[in-house]
Amino acid sequence: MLKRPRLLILSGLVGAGATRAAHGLRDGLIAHGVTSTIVDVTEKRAQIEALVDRASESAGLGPFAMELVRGLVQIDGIAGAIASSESSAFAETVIWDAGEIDSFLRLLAVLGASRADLTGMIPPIAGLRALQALPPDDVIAWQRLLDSLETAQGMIAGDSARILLSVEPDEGVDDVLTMRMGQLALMRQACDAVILDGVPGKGEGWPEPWAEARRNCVDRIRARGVPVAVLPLLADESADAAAFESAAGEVLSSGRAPRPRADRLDEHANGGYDLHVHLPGVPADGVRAGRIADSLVIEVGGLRRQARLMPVLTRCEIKGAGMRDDCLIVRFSRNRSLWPEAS
Amino acid sequence: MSAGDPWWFSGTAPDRESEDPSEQSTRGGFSLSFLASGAQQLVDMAKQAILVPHADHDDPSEHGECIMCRGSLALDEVRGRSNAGNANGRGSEPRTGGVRWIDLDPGHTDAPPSGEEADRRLSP
Repeated sequence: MLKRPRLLILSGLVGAGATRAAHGLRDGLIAHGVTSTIVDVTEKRAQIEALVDRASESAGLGPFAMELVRGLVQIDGIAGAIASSESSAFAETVIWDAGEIDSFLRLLAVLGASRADLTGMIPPIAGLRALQALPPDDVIAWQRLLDSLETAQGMIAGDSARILLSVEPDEGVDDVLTMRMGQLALMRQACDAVILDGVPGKGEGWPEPWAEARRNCVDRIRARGVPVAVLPLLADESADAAAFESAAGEVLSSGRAPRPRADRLDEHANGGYDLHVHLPGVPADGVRAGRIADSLVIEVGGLRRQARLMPVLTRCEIKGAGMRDDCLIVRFSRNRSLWPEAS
Repeated sequence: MSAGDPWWFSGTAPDRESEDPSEQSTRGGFSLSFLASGAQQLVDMAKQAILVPHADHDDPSEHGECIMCRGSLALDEVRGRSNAGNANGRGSEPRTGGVRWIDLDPGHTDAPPSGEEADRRLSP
């Protein structure tokens, strides 16, 4: 039996109407008898930034604070993830308006970092924290924040979460098909459905072949095995309640797309290793890989994921790599100076 | 949004049942008041948010505007002073600095084509 989605994460390209789609979907779900609510923290951004400003001032960070504010672009995303994790008590289905897809992907990168990475990977900040000698209440608060982030991570990774991309047929379809799905795979996620907003109907007087090209976008996306919820193009350029009710039905009936497989390590008789990183949807010419210290860096379309190497691989050297089918295979050989037992 | 709605709420409140939303928003959760009380933690989160843009910076010396790059350079300087002439047996592997990119193999003939025509979704 299909499990009803409890968290719908809605994102899209700039101007693709993700917020409007979120509200329309909420109404559509309610029309289907599913109580739903929207998580949208963008209106709180000013409040949150003001809090941070005050904290920066009280911390006596000086010019440092100005730079911190520039880094706040992820705060609303992080707050949204946390809000989503605690909003499930409010409705059967939570719609999280995660906004623009680049920000959402970067948020996934932040959430994908391990707790150890989050707390310990920045020596200057670790030093700063130590200097400030956080009071016990703040330590507890910090712990709870990390717990909340872990809960959010769990919800996003859970079976009842769906990632929906809002796209307009005029622009963004190619980007979604050639790059965004691959970037989601890089973050170990997948697109569960596309909401295509503004598809002109056949025989409704729209000029052809302009209208046909827009309609063809539906088939191109479906050819990738991705469900498409179509919002028709109306004369007033605004999809109506019936369209969103239909789209909500599509979302409710679609399943969760499989996520990329976990990394696999093959050992060879000669002592070498092949690390298989599953990257479905990633174009072979759009990926690059590298190493920084004991981490493997993979980049797809400018988006990077940095993951710590398995311990055995930290004693190896990378001999090469390449895409085969939908996997990036990184070849390692033993660094003899780090394998004294082999000499 | 009414005064009783949680801090993250936007839009019209759905039909709620018996519970008081303000109680729910604070029940083991992360309310706005909690954010205020943990302001220092938000500062930390802001710092961490800097990590993501920093991930695109291969060479710290080229990104003077990035606080992480500046921190890395400062740290390298400190390490350089404290570890001068003290090799640790890890060969030439740098602990910090830029990514060492790998030259990927040329495309395989059995690989699917890149771009939108390739269907790379997984089988259920």
